[in-house]
Amino acid sequence: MAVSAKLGPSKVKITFSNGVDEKGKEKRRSKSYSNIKPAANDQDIYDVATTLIGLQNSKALEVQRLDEKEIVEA
Amino acid sequence: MSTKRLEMIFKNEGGKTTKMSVDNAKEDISKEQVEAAMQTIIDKNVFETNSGVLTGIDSARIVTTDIDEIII
Repeated sequence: MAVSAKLGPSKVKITFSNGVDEKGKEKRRSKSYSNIKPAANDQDIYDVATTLIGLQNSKALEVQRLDEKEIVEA
Repeated sequence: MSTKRLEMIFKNEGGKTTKMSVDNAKEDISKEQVEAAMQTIIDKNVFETNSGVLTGIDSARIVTTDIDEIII
């Protein structure tokens, strides 16, 4: 059966360093922002993530873009 | 120990507001820095809520939470 895909709202997830644990392993903390337009380009999303990172204290480790796709019967 | 969370509240197309928060906010953050950041977020235009895109700055605030550990 043929299906078609509908792009869902995307998210951006920023992972921060949250200090180290007693074994010296880096602890991580992440924060997601939803309601990103699926059509938004990576550079603009990255720029927004950088802006948000600039407002807080922890070191940012990575910025991830999470895209979702809903598949429905055509 | 206390933690600070920055809450940025935007106006959106539908005439409602959208809140975006930043945990572990810098202590010495200025009004100008927050305004500039909010304007960048609006200009980049990557968010679209159920009430449409972000159109302007509504307000911003710092929420400080004091935590006293009793049993660790």
